[in-house]
Formats: sequence, structure tokens, C-alpha cells
Amino acid sequence: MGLSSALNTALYGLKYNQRQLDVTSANIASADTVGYTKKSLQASVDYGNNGQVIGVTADKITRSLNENVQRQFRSSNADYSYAKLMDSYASRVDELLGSIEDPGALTEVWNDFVGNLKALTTSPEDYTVRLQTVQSAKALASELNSATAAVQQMRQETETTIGATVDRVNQIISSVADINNQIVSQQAGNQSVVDLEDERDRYLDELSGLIDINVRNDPNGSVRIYTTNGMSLLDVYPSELRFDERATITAEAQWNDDPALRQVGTLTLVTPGGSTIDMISTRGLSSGKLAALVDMRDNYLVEVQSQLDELASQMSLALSSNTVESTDAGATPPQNGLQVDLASLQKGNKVTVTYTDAASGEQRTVSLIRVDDPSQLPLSNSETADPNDTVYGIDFSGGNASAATQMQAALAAAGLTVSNSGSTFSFVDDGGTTSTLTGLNATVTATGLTDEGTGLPLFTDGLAGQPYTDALEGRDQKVGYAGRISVNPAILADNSRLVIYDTVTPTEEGDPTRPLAMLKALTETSYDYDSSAGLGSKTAPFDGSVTDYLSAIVGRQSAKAANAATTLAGQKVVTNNLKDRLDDSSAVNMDEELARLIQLQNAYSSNARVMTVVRELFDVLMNA
Amino acid sequence: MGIYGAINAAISGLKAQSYALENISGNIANSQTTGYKRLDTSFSDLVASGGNDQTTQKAGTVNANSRATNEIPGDIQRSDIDTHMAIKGDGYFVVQEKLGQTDGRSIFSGNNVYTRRGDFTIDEEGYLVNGAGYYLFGNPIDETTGNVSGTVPELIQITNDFMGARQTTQIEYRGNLPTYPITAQSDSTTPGSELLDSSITPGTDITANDNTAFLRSSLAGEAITVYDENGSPVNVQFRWAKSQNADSSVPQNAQWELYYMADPTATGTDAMWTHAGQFEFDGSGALVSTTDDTGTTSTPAGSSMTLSDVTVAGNNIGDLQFAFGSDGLTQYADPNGSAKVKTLAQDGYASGEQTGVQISGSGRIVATYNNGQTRDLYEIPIASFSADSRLERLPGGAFAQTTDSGEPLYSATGSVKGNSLEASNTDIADEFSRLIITQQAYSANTRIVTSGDEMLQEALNMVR
Repeated sequence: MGLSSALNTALYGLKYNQRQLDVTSANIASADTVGYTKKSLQASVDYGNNGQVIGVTADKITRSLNENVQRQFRSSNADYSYAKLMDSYASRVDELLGSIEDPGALTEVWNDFVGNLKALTTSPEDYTVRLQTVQSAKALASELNSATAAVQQMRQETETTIGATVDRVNQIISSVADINNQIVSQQAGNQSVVDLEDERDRYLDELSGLIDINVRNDPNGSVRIYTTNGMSLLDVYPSELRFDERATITAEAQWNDDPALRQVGTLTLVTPGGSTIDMISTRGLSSGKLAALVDMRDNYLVEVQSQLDELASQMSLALSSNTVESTDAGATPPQNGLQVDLASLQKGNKVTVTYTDAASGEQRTVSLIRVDDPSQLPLSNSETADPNDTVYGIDFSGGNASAATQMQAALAAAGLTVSNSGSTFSFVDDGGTTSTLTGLNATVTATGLTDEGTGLPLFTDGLAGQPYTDALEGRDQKVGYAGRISVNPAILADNSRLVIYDTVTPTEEGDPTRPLAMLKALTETSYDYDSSAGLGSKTAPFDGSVTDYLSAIVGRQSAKAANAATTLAGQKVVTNNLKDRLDDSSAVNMDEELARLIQLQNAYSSNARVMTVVRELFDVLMNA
Repeated sequence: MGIYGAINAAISGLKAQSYALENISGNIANSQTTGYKRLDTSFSDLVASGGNDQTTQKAGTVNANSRATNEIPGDIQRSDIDTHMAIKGDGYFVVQEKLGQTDGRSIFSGNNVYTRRGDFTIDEEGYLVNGAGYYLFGNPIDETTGNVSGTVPELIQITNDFMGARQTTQIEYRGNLPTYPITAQSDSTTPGSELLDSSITPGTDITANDNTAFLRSSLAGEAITVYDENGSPVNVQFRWAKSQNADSSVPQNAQWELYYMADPTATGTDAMWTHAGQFEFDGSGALVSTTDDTGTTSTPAGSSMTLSDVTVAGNNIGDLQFAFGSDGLTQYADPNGSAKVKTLAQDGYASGEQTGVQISGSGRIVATYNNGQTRDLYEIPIASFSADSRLERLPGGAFAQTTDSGEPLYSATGSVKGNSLEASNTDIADEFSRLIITQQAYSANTRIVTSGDEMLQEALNMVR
């Protein structure tokens, strides 16, 4: 409508320019703010009745954001956090065990000990060498102790960090819930919610590093958060993550499905409806920092510990074991009979029976393990590392006769008859009908320093000198043994026992028999190692000397650390790329904003010019 | 009549031009009044003396009348107030004047008047009143159907009532179940370990005693908050358990059982998870049939299933449609072995508090609520008249119906536009042009009087 209409339109143009200027200045001011997304103003043109433009109005501020990349970034961020945490701990474990050449590392201490033993074989009578041997054994024990302490310290750290992370997760989720409510009500009131959305995204990006999340948008502007495995973290009302943090974590403290047996904290999700679900047993977490911490605490570090325990266990047993050979039981041919004296059989020690199965012609091995705690029975075949034997636990707490009855029950199917006379157990076959007995012996742990054979209990469980026999009573003696291993105080008191093994017919001072047997047991004799410690498998366990096993675990940990570092490097590249792409889509581009500023300035001047012209025209009219 | 006639005509011209000047000044005074319709001036001539044709007739005096410009729209201007509105095109808002108050309640005149002035705001009683004190009428909208109820406009009163909750009737659920679910107890070396624990009979509810075994052999299927009758949120948590693998040698299809958390506090043999239904997938991963919890099997699967009488932690939600659409639920291999939900939505909402009132694009008054919902309250009727210019002008930009204008018709072509106001249709430039012309005409008329006077003087001076 003529002049006033033009004036009106120009006025709206100015107002729109001012709002654009507002947005642009906010963009420039917040260019460096983390999580700030570029904003832009949408305008709509108003048309009058005759289709003429009567004004421009600013409608809505919108965010520039590539939501697809944002989703990918979040999923990648979880994997990155996971890899980062795994790498930080793996490299610490690697440093702890050291490489094969590192001075002061476990391998070096071990080599020192073996070297001293070797020296002892050549000069058994030399007091200095004996002293050095005992000293190096002490150093080895304390190295294992401190390694265990360090591993458990790391587990303790993960436990504490899980607690702190869970608190943070809960905070974030409840903050997001609050922002959700604000967005819903502000959006309904037609207000701009872009700043709230930015803030919410900052929280969600942080959360994606802690837990692997899946974010779902609702039409009313709120978001729902799920873990990628489908547990609901936030939907209208937040769920709560709970963690019953334990104050002290020892090697024995492990996660278990059964709350009564669990000695470390577990993660529970409490939904707004009140249901509780254990996130660990139901695999609720698959990536992110929290999953990495749990994985580290319950798998990675537990594996390291069990390798140390297996090493300490096998080393102690190798040195302290004596074999009790069997003698002929005097059975009537064609039956074969063998007898063995089990007087010195300790709990955890085993009796090995071998026979040929008549039907298949195969050699069979049966391991009878002494157990004094009937609640542990029956034992599984994986109780010994040997994949080919059949394991039976024999409860000796009821005396020899009861033990013989249990052995009889275990071996009856194989056609063997077991009887005892005092501590002497006779095993007699049925003359080849079902089986032919081919061998029998017992591996026993020496308890004293002399007169039991060449085996020497150099290492004991704890400073009190409790013999280590890998007993199963109460808890498995092996678990956490590396933390308790110490040199037998009796040997510290009298190091001549490194050489003298017989006092009945006294061993010569220069007799190398015992040092040689010890050296052989550690460096030459092959053993099977428990596959649950992570090396080898159930059917093909790691097989080699104790020295070999030590090299293998050091190698394995350093390979795992290297692997973690590679995964981290790869994940870092992917995540950073996605982050860059996300930033490209949302970050403020200064050049663009400055160019925009010039455009706005021009537009503003033009609108103002229209106003001037209208004014001039009015003046002309007035003066007409 | 001669000179006297001429002077007489000039005086009528003076009167007519001052009439026009009055209109011009009034128009300029109201050039910024919302919804103002300017009054133009029309002149009509009177023939002075009678002859039979124009050769003997003379130009006579002039008579001035106002001419209404109701049909000429003003500019539509933007307003930031949500309840301001303008009519684009033909028509008027239906309004009434307030007479006073009795017992704290407003009394209205009872006579509809009409205006284009749309600067309405809500007063303390919830009425929409414009700047000139007229109250807006509208047609109420039925809450459930969303259609206009009644044809006679009534006074609009907006109450900031709570919006009632809507009970959830349908859950939309689309996603993929893995061919090999990786559950807590699945072990790739033990065939069948990925299936629902053997201690649990597929198709029955899960008791609290079986909960651990169930959780260890099932997959989380996300959860969603649904609303019961009074708007209480209820969290429905789903879990999937595979109960049978596909085997072409039998032949048999893969079967999945769907459960939802029914009672988180259940103990002993009480049901903790309710069995919601069974889904069968063929070897290619397509859904072939469903069996709901009443045992009704649908082959082919259709696009939804009924979860009958859903009760979660004592809150009854009634029957829920579990809609997965055709091909919405599949069983393809998934390396993570987890159930991937792609769509999970429901149609209920909680009650809400009113956060604002706006004018929608279709000319309805819409209330917005803090639960994210909106509700249409009134439709604003637009009245039109056959003869707009014969309406009676009232103060404040309102017009009243007269016999000449005809009855209001509710078939106007105009539409209501929110956040807008119609400006005055006075254009100052136009009025100025007219002012100049009027001034010129007035001067010319005075010239005639002067000339006539001089001529008469001459005539009088003839006699000495």
C-alpha cells in the first residue's frame, strides 16, 4: 500500500537483520566453545492480500549438525574409550612384568635365581653360593609378591574408578532427563531450544565415552537413552546404575553370579519401574569406559594374576615334589598288582594310576587327588592341567580305609581293586579282562627339609612356613599364591639344607645331587600348565619347563599390550576422523561468519536506505 | 438565478470540500489505528434549473457523502504476540461489547458486532479481548473428534485446565533379532546353549525363581514408558529369548519368545516376567507366524499382535497392540548377537499443564501443553456481508449489521492468520494528495464567491 507499506517492509527487514546479527555474533563469540553448533536463522516472507511482500519475519533458530555422523561418532567414541582404558592398563601390566632383557624385571630375577642354583651344582659346599642362592630365591619371592600387589592395586583402582564412573553416568543421565523436560515444555511453548540441545549433546557425547549408548529421539523433543544391548537408561524417567563398591580387592576376590560368593562390586541397573538387572551377568555393557573397567577387573588382570599364581605354584611344586614309586603287591598272576605308600600324601597331592584298557587297547591315566574337604567333591577333570587323565577327588579325612573304599568306587569300572593295609594302598587289576595295570606312583610334597628325597620345600605359603601343596580346601590354595609365596624360614635359618637331603646316611657337603635335581626340575622337566590362566587350551595345555612358562607369560603380556596399543591407535584414527566430520558439519567457520557479517551490513544499509528514500518522498509530498 | 446561483453553488462546494477535509483529517489521525477503514468522500451534483435538455440546463450545487472502504484491506503486519490475528481476505471477526460486571462476572451486550481489529489478548477471565474492548466469539471444537461442534459462535473463554492423559494403546516395535543370540550363557562350542534355559518351559511366564536362569539366557529388548488411564507412566521392559533354532531337516522354524517385566518385586513362584507371545522366523529370517499369549496363532504373521491385559507392577494398562508392521521384525545374523531395536514408540501421553495459546494456520485457537501435546480449542468464524459498505460504523473499528448490509454470512473467503495485525488502510501519501486537491477546490470555490461578490458590486455600482 504505497509509501507507508514500503516503510513497514523496510522496518521488518531491519528487525530481521538485527536478529541475524545476533545469531552471527553468538556464533563468532562461541566459536571456540566445546559442543557449540553453528546456528542459523530461518526467515519467512509475509505476503499481503494482493500477493505483495509485506515483511520478512524470523521464525526459528536452527542448528547445523550432521546427526548421522554424530551417531557414528558416539558409537566409535565408546570403542575408543574402551581401547584407551585397556591400553593404559595393558601397558602398565607389560611394564610390571618387564621384557626379557629388562634389569630388575621378573625374568631377570628368575635368571639370577637359576644362575645361582647352577653355581650351587658346581660348588655345593660353598657357603657364599648357598647364601646367594637363598637370597636370590628371596628376591624372586618378593618380586612375585610385589607383582601381585601391583596387579591387585590395579584391580582396586578399576573398582574405585567404576564407582566414580557410575556416579558420573547417573549425574549425566539425570541432567539429560532435566534438559529433556525443559526442551519438551519450551518446544511446546514455541521457544527456541537449540541451546538446550547443544547442552544435551555435550552430555550425551560424554556419556558415549562411558557407556555404549543408543540415543532415540522422540517427537516431543526429548531423547531416550539405551545401551546398545537394549537396556533402558532414560525414558521419561531416568534409570539408576548402582555399584556396590568394595573397599579392598585381593587376588581371591572375584566376580561371581552368586551374590554370596561375589567379593567385588557388581553393576545393577534399577529401572524407574523398580526392576533390578545385573548389568555384568546379562552382558548389559559391551563397550565404553565402564565395560573396559569391568573387563579389566574381571578378566584381563585376573588372567595376569592367575599366570603369576600358576608360575609360583608350578615352581614351588617342582622344587618340593618327591615321587613315591610303587612296588609289586604280590598279586596272583595273571592279575597284576602294585602297591604304594601314601603316608606322606598331602592334600592336593595326587596318585597316578595308569592301565591299559582291554577293550580299546588304550593307555588310561587316572589321577586321584587328596582332598580333606568333602564339599569340594566331585572334582572336574580340569583340576589337573593334563588333558588326558580322569580326575577323582579322594576324601582322606575319614582315614585310609575310607579313602581306599572311595578309590575302589572310582576305579571299579576300570576293573581295578583297591585295598589298604595302613597307609599302603594296593591296586590289583582283573588279569586283563577289563584292564591291565601298568603303573602307579604318588607325587607328594616334602614337608621337612631332609630325609624325604631330593625334593625341597624351598618356597612356602606365607611366612609361617605353611607347605604349598595346591590344596583345594576352603578356597583353591593356588589363587593369590604369588602374593603369599615366601622362602621357607627353615632354609633361611640353615642354608646347608640346600645340599644336605639325608641325615640318616649323611649327605656329603660337596654332593650336588639336590642342587642338580632342583635345577633340572625348574629348567628341564616339562609340566602341563593350567589353561584357565590363559595360555594353551584345555585339550592342549601349555607344556614346558618353568623357565619356558615364565618367558611365555612375559611374551604373552607384552603381545597383549602391543595389541591393545594397535587397537587404540586404529580406534583413535576412526574416532578422530568422525569427530572432525562432526565438527565440520557443526563448527563455526570464522570466514563464513565474517563474510556473513558483511552481507548483513549491506542488507541493513539497503533497508535503511529504503527508509530514507520513503522519508524523502514524504518530504517532497509535504512540500508540494 | 444568475450570480446568486453561482455563489450558492460555490458555497455548497465549500461545504463539500470541508466535509472532505474532515474525512481526510480523520483518516490521517487514524493512519496508525489497527483495523481502521478509511472514509473517502464522494461528491454528487445537483442540477440547478430545469430545461428539457442539457442545452438549457445549468451546473448546480454539490453534495458530499462519505464512501466506506471496508473491502480495501490494510497491510498485514507481523506481531510477536501469539494471540494477535489478522484476516487475510474478506470477512470480519464476530465480537461483542462488554456492558459491565455483575458479581465479578462480565456481562455482555448480547448483540454481535463485527470487526477486523485483531489485537486480541487474553484477559483475567480467559476471554479474548481486543484493544478497543470487543470480545471474540468462536466455535468450540470437540475434544475427541477434533471437529467443530455447533454452528452458532459462542464467546471464547480459555481455561488453563490440565490436559487429560491418553492411555497407551499401541507400541510400535521394529527391529532385528540375531540368528545366534549371544547371551550370558551362550557358548559357541555347546550347541543349544544360546537357547532359553532348559529349566524354563517356552511359552509360560517366568517365575522369580527362574529369573536368574532367564536373564542369563535371554536378550534385552529395550524398554518404553507407556501411560495408563490416568497418565501414570509405566515402564515396560522387554526381553527376547530364542526357544528353537531353525532346522530344515525336521523341518522347523526358528522360534523367539517375547517377555515383558510384570512384577519386579515378585518372589518365589510368582511370575516376574509375563510371556507376551511367540514369533516364528523361517530360514531366510522373515517372520512367518506369531502366537499371542492367549494361544491364537496368526499365519502369516500380519503386522501386529495383541498383548492382552498388560499389567506392570500393579498398574493395569489394558490391551496393547504390539505393532511391528510387515517385515518390521526380522531375524538376520548379527555379529554382536544382540537384539537391535530400530523403532520403539507408543501413542500415549501423560496429562499436561497449559503453556500457551496460539493461532494455528487453519484459524484455530490452539493450546499447547508442557507434555508436548497441543489441542484445538476453538475455530474462529469469519462473517461476511453482502453489502459491507452499508454496515454501521461503531467506535473502535467495529461495525454493526443494518438492514441494508444484510445478515452475516459465514461463508467468507478470508482466512485467519496468527501473529499478525491488519494495519489501517489509510495511506498518508494518498490522503496528502487528496488534501492538496481539496485545498485547491476550496480556494477555487472561495474565488467564485469573491468573483460573484465583485460582479454584484459592479451591478450595484451601475446605479449612481
